[in-house]
Amino acid sequence: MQLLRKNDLLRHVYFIESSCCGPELLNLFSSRYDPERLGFVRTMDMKKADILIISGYSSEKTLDKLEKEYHELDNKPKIVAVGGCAINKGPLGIKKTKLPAIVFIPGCPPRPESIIDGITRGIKS
Amino acid sequence: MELFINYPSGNTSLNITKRGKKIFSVKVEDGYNKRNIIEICRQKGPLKSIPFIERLDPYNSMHYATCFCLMVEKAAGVSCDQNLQFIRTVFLEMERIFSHVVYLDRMFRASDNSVFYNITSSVKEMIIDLKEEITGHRLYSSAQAFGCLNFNFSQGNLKQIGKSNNDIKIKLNEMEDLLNNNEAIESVYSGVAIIKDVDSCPGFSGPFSWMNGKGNDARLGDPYLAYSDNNILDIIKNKYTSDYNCAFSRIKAIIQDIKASIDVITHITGKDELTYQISNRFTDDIKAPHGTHGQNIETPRGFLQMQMDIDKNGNIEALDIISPSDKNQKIVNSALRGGLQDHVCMAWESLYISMMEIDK
Repeated sequence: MQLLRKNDLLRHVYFIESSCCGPELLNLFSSRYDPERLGFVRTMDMKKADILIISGYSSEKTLDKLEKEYHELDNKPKIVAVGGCAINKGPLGIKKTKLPAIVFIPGCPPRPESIIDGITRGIKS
Repeated sequence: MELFINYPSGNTSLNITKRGKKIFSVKVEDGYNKRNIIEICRQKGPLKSIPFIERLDPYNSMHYATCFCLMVEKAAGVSCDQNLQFIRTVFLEMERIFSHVVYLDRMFRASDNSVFYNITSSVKEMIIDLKEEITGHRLYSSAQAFGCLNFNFSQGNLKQIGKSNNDIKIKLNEMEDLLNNNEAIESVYSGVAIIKDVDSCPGFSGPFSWMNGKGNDARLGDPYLAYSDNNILDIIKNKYTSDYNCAFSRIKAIIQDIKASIDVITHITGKDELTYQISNRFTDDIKAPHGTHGQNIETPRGFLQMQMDIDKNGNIEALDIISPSDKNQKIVNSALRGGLQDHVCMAWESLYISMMEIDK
């Protein structure tokens, strides 16, 4: 199963859409930007994910749950932090995530093109 | 000391510092204007609470800025150019459409219906693109500098908004045709998420409450901006009502509400004389009179209320922002505690300097 997953051409992306980054991320996975041509699709299951996107304003409850779920995973996905809130509290001044992100995409919210660029960098790394 | 429970404004209480029989200080604490939606959703999981949340705050940033500007203008005793009022109304209605479309998007995604979901995402993209072209930002739009717009707004821009809105209306008509006798959606949402009479409190507003006949609408009750125009009032008054209060009939109500917003925008953009020149600015010597000044406007989760006290020198002594939701109230309170420097630092740290922030 591990071997199959490694050689899979598609990379699975998991994200929770929240506040202002939400519509950008949702529109990213629709027909206009068509990310499947670049080899990544959205998954609704965190266990299958290769990339985990933490975006926008998330409440403390949500972040705690997300961190707990992440630490329970066997194969840990690579983390991409999208938006000002996820990187450095942001304009709303919320709790910052402790999860180790490898790619940071600044902006409030960042443009879809830069999110695509960030995800591809995350996959390559 | 809790005084009484009052739904539109939460719990009102007195904070009394007392030593023995002497009272040292008394402070009145107001609640917040809420629509009871938070109470309804509190005991439910995320999926079950989706049908109750018809609009979201982050997509309606301009409402807060508009309320503040209207309050300042009211206090200063100046009224803006009528064309600017129309343009502000256009943007408020655009935000209303966007947040309603996001609600529909969530509902169709939760019922796993990709046909509707594709329509709503294309509508969202259309609005985002339009906002970007006109204001320079994809989600936040601002027309709030005191007495003027902070970007050039031409007749062409307005015509473009009118044209795009017609495209949105075509998409909505498609959606409505598909919804008629659609068993797939009806089986999921009919008879679900009924709002009881107890839950629909006086502070309740928006399409959900209009269906019950118990809700208020600040646009009709205390018309601000271009809502005092008789033609626009007529459009808003014709609301969709239904005796059967469930999630399915609410989807229909939201579509009708979006259509009404589109009609408002088409009515405004159809005006020939509507242009705004950035050179029309107020002079700097306007002073607000001593006293308390306030403004109410219709926002996603109920009425947003702002109040400010002005001292004898014409300076702002105190500012109260009573937000529609308790989560926002906490953020507002913490933000008001910090100084201007903190706000600028925070904005730089997050690389977020939008037009809205510069106005502040």
